[in-house]
Amino acid sequence: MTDYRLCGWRLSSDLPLPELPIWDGDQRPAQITIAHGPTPEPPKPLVIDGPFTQLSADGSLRFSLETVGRFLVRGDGHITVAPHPQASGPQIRAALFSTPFAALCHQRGVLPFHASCVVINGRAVAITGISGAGKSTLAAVMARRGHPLLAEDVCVVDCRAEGGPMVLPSPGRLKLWRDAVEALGLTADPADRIGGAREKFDLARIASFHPSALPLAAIIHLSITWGARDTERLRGTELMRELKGGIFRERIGVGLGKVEQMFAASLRLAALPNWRISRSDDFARIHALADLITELAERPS
Amino acid sequence: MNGVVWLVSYPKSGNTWLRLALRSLRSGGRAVNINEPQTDVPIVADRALFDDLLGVNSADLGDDEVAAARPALHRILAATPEASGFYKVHDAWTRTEAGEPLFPKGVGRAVYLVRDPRDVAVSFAHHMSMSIDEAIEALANPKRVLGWTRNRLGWQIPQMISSWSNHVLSWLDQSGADPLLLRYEDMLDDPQAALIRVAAFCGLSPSPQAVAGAVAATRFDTLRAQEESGGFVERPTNVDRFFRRGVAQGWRDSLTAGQAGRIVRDHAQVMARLGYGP
Repeated sequence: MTDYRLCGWRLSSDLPLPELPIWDGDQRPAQITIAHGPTPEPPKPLVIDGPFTQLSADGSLRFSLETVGRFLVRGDGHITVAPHPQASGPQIRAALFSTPFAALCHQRGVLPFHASCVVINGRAVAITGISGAGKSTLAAVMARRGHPLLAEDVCVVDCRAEGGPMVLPSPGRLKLWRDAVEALGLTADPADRIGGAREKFDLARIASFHPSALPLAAIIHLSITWGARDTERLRGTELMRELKGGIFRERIGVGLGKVEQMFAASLRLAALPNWRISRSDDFARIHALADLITELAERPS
Repeated sequence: MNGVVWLVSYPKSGNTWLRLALRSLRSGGRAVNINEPQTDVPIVADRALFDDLLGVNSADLGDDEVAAARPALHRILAATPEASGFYKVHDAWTRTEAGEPLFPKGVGRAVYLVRDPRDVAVSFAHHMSMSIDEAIEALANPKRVLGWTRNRLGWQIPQMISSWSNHVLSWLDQSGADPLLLRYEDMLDDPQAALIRVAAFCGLSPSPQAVAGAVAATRFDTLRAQEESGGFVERPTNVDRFFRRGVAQGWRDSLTAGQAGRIVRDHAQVMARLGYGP
């Protein structure tokens, strides 16, 4: 077993997790454990019963990917892993840090938010939007400009902190599709390729990840729209709707009985500057958007 | 409204129009803003919907895994009270590799919207930035797929639409869904009657004012004027406009005799059945 640091928690794992820093904190017992073992179906009744995700009323969740493996996340922070014999380490970790990780966050009272997060002059700025909106591409542009990343795809926010929402550092791959790699002026290297028939690459090597928690300064809501649209400050019910939509694996949070917790967290996020920016269907303005995000990060609320 | 209703059509057959009319109808006949978020009628192949409901990143799955999971998605949608409502569908009615119906019987009701394939070909060519001959080819291709991307992450998951004829036959004859059949041309001719039929089929009972309001709100010139002034989010990047003509038989001045003849040859049986004569 090796002890790692994840979102400030002490995590003890018999599955190697090279993306995570080794635990260098106090002598507290591990809050999360990961071990190989059997992953039976969670006890009935199931509140979510789908082909990939099953959530029991007792708070345990099983996540199954046929070609990668199974993950059983118990309510007490113990995760059991049964990898597929042919699955690679990166595949197993990518699966672990998707839905099982989100369940862990919901269970532990922090909010998994569907966003990339970049550090701009010591301030954390989250970039949210649906899959395909361009979060990772913008994060990559920012990384190329020397801004460290705090999160990629799933941004963990502790909204209970007294001084305002804090972004907890979490591991990430930087998954980019060929169009984005080329828009960045990079070469799509076959060695970085992931994902079968698709032209998809992991470019984590171009980014540096910030190691410690930072206060969240602003949230950028990225959407794809026709033509040029003005940047606007989101407020009120529209903002609350957008934030609710940005919660990663919200249904699992609901199934775990965390509706009030998620709502309270959203209210804290709504108190921050929330900006909507849009991009066209291609990456023509990607550098202008990166300039805009840098500027919005500094704009007083 | 209880349960889910699939608004099914081959692309470019008036689905967007029907969706906007239903939006207005359900709000008592108010004006519609074409660029309002389309949360009222999402496309069932929406990637975010798949990811949210099934708790997985579809982008991390293989095409076969996504396809195999879709019947479960449709079942979960139909069984989730807060997911009740309309869903836009462009898929042909097919079975998964394991033989499971993509839209299982008894899961939701279906409205099937159909349009003269000669008009579809012209509109499809324009929408996809392809030549008319390529569009005619696409309409005849039994393996045509929508939304598959190699180099970028699309916001839709891939949908097998097959050929125009297969699409019609799959839903009308093979699905067992007994859909409400609605012709684009009839909806254009008498939108009021068309909306009343759809509403009754879906268990809605709108007031006459709501129906009249929905018809007025979605007149072609109104939608087009909105697009002229504010654009339309669903317009593809390289295309000048989405709401293009909104007429029946527009193909007569857009297709050569040879092109029209090819479409009739490709789809003669189904066209005859639907009353699309020469």
